Amino acid sequence: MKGGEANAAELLRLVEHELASEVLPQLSGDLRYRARLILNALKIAAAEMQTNQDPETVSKAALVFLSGLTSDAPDSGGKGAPNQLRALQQMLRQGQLDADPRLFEVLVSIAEARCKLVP
Amino acid sequence: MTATLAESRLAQHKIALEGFLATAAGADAVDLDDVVPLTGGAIQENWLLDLRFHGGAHGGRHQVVLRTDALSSVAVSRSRAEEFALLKVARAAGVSVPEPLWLCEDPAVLGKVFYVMARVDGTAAPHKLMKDKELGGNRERLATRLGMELAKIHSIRPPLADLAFLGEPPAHPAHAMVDRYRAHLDRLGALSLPLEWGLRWCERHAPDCGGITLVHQDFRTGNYMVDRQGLTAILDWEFCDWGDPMSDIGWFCARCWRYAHPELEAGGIAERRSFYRGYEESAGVRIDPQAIVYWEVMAHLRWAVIALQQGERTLSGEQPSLELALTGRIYPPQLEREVLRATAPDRWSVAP
Repeated sequence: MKGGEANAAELLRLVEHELASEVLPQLSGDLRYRARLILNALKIAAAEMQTNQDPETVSKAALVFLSGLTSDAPDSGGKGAPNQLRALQQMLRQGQLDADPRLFEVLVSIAEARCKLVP
Repeated sequence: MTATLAESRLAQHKIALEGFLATAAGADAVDLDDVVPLTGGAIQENWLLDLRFHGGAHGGRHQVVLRTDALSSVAVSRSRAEEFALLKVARAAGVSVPEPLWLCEDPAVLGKVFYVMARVDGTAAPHKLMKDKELGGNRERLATRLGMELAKIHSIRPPLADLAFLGEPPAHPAHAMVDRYRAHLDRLGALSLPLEWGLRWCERHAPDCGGITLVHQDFRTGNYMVDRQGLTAILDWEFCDWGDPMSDIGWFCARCWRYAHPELEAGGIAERRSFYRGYEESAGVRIDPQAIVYWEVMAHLRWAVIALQQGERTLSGEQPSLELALTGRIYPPQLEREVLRATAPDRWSVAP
């Protein structure tokens, strides 16, 4: 039992359902296209809320990888995280991580996680 | 004046526009009877004009297309005057393009630069091409024809006085693109490690450029028009530049532009060999498949950077648009996955 009050994620899911089943079939042309855009935006927002994941936090795996290279503790979500990711970006650009199979695995997992959040 | 014309943004410029068209066409007078907005993407506006010319070589009724900037434009796209010049050069090279008619750079007419071109029948909508297999005629023949058209575009080579605005050709187009996309990502404040991985791979594996030509840079399904018989016109010349001709082939064949038919490697419409055949026979060169693998990776990187730029246009407040926000949010993850698929560690050559 949830006490009868929908939370934000549940409301989003219900709006998505209402739009797809009741509103969209009544529309055509440009309005239908715009309604589909709204539906896609709702799906992304709902997926993000459900998994408690956003495009930035999926980079946590990259920070763990970086900490293995530098022996620094990963600072996921902390103020140092963007700087640590920038450091990894620079190492990539400078060719210090060319064809690195461990990093590649991390990047694939990041891309897959990000793809799950979009329709 | 029809209701459509009265409600359009062109209504307040009707008299000035009719005056310009009469002078440009050498007519005694021109009546603008109706306008219909056409789809033109987020960067340009296209209007179909119903005209009546009185006197002169064009006497009688004509439908033409007026093309001008939308409210928001993208810095990397060519100006309308440059696009008009590109259309003229392409037409002279035998490329199937809408005939460019008149350019107006006087801000007193519409408040912005525009040009007028002949109307071409057909549709360019990718979803229609994906659904309706009859559209465009025989698809393998259509792909071969598109290969031939692209070869004609690539027959245009620097230096060319009419295209002086394109500037000096790059010494190494692939490396120039890597530098440019890194700079774009930095300007956006975007931090995508998969894209960085792909850019580094492109930096390491750039193939030799066989010669600089004009490159269309958006030659793909969605940017050519077809009717029931076949191709009617190549559109959207706003990203043209000097570059490596193989980059256009990679862009056309890249998985991201195959829409609902990824198995049809030539733009989602046909087999790759049909497209290659048309290109090779017309250009008199052999396409190196390995070079195209490279340029398909670059195509995914480029589209990802453009998608992020489009997303930023709305996030920055420049142009409120859910469509732009979704472009920046939906496409980059899929493109990152495509880049990684093609650049696994075993696809890297030994250290240079």
